[in-house]
Amino acid sequence: MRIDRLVAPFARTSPEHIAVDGPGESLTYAQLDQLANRFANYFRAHGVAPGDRVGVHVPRGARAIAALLGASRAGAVYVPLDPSSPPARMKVIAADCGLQHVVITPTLLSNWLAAGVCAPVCHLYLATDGNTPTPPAGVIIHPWADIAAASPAPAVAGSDSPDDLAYLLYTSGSTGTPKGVMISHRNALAFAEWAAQTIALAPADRVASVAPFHFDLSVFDLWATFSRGATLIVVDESTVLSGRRMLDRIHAQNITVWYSVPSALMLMLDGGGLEERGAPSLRVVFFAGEVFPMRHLRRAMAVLPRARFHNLFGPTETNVCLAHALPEIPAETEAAIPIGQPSCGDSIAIVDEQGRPVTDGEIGELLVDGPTVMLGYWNGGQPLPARHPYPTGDFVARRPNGDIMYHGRRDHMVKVRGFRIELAEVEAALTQHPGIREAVAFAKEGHLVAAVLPSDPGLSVLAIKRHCSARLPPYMIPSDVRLLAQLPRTSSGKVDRIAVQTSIADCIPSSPKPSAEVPGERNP
Amino acid sequence: MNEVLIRKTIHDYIVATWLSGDERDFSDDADLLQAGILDSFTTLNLAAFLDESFRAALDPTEINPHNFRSVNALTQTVLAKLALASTSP
Repeated sequence: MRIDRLVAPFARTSPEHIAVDGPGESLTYAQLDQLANRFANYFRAHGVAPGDRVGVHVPRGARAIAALLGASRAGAVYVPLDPSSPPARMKVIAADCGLQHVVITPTLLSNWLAAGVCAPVCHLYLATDGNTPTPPAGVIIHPWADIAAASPAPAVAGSDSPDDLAYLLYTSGSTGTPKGVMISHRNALAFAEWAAQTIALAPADRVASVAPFHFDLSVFDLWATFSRGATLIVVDESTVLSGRRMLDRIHAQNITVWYSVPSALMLMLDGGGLEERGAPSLRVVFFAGEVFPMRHLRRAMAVLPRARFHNLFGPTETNVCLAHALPEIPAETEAAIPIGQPSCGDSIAIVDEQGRPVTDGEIGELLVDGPTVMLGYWNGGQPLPARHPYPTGDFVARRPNGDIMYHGRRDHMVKVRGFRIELAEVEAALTQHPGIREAVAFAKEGHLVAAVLPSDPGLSVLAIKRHCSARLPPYMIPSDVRLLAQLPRTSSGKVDRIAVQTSIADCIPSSPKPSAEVPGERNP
Repeated sequence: MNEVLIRKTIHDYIVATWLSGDERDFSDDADLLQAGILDSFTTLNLAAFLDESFRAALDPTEINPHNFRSVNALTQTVLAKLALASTSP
C-alpha cells in the first residue's frame, strides 16, 4: 500500500463524507481527492518528476493536506516545512534535500522573499489567493488560481512499490544542522495500519489533528484517518495552546480520537476545565513524545472513563515501535508506566555497551528492527542507510512480564513540550555568534536553558535571543539565557555539563509567575 | 493604573521572564517576535499576565502579532481594553 493510493477509494464510496474539517476550510473525500489530483497534475506539468522533493510550507489544514497528497500522487517525496521556523532554517533544509518545488502561502512567501529565496528552489506554488509578488530571477511563482484550474483527472504515482521514499521529516541534528529522516510508504503505513486496527478506527470517527505536520505524530492523524475514511478535525495551534478553547472544540466537533504529547492534554486539565466538563465523545487517547507525569495521567484517565489510553513510543527514525495500552488507571504507587511491548510488526533487543543482550531488569540500549524503521538519513543526497537493527540511543529495561520501562537517553537529545531537540544544534547556533566563546544548553523543568561564556562583555541576552530567532525554530530558542564569567570544567579541560547545570540551578531567581495556560511553567 | 506604570510593569515582566533580568539593548519598541521572545506559546503566557495584572482579558482575536509586537504596542492594547471596560455599562 502507498500513501498516494489512500483517499481515492473513499472518494468513490462515500464522496460526500467530510475528510478534513478546518480551520477555515472543509473538504469532502471527493473534494480532497480532486484537489490532490489538481496539485499532482499541476506539479507534473511543471517538471516535478518521480523522486523529486516537494516542500509544503503551509499552515496545517485542508490545503496543506491536499498539497502533501498531490505531491505523493505525482510520485514525489513530500517535505513538510514548519511555518513557524525562520527562513534561515528553511534554507538549510532546502539546500540539504535539493528542494526545487515549494508550496507556500503568500504571507510565508513574503518572509522568504525578504530573506532571499535560495537555490535550488525555483518553483513556488501559492496555496491560497493573494498578491503574487515579483519573483527574483530564475524563480517562478505559480498563482493559486492556476493550480485550482488544473485538471482533476485521477493522478497516481507511476511506481507501486511501498519501499519508495514517501517523505522526509527534518529533526534536530546532533551535528548542529537539521537532518532529514527518510520514511518509506511501508514505514509510515506499518504504523498507521497498526494504529487503525488497534483502535478499530471507522468512518464515523472524528480524529483531532493537533501535531505539526513536520512532527511524526501527524503520520497517524493523516494516514490512519484516510486509510479508514474517517474525518480529520484540524485544530490550529493557538486553540491547542488554550486548554479551554481546545476543550470547546472537542465538545463542538465530537472528537473521538486524540493523539498528542502529554503537555497538550495537561493544558485541558489545568485551566481548560476538563475535570468539570469532561469530554464524553473521546474514545481513544494516544500520547507520546515525553513522559506523562503520573499524577496528571491519573487525573486525565479519571475524567475520561470512556476513553482507552495508549502510551506510544519511538523516535522519528522508527516511527512508533512500542506501545502500551492502559486498561485501567495506574496505581498511585506506580512511579512510571511502561512504554510497552513491540508493536507494528517490529522486534526489539536490549543490549549493553558491548552489544550483548542484557537480562530482565538490567538497563541497556533499545535496538529496533522491522517495517517501521526508516530507510536512512537523506544527508545532502548521499543517503546514510539505517543500521539494522536500529540503535535508538534510548536506555530501557525489560520487566519479567515483557513490558519495557524507559530510563533516559545516552546522548544530548532532550524533549521540550514534546519537541525533540539536539542540544548540539542549539549550541552550534549560539557559538555562531561572534561574541560567544562557548555555550552549553540543557533542558530543565520543561525549559530550554543556555549557559553562555561571552567573548564580548557587551553582549546582551536580547542580542543572543535575536541571533537565535533568525536561525532556530521557536521551540529551540533557549527561554532562559545565562551569561557566565566562566564555565566549570572537568580535569581534562572539557566543559563539565553536569556542573554547569548545578551552578545555574543554584542561582535561578524566583521563577516567573506560573500560568494555568502554560505547562512548561508548572511543576508537575 | 496609568500608562507609565503599565508600560513599566510589562517591561519588567518581560525582562524578568524571558531576558534573565538583562535589560541591556531592550527598548520598549523592540520587536518581541524578532527577538525570539514571543512565540505562540509565550504569547499565551503574556496574555494571562495582562489579565492577572491589569484585569485586561483579551479576546482571542486581540491576541495577535500586531497587538503583541512590542512593550509599547502591548501598553496601548491594555489601555484600549481598560478604556473600553470603563465606558461599557
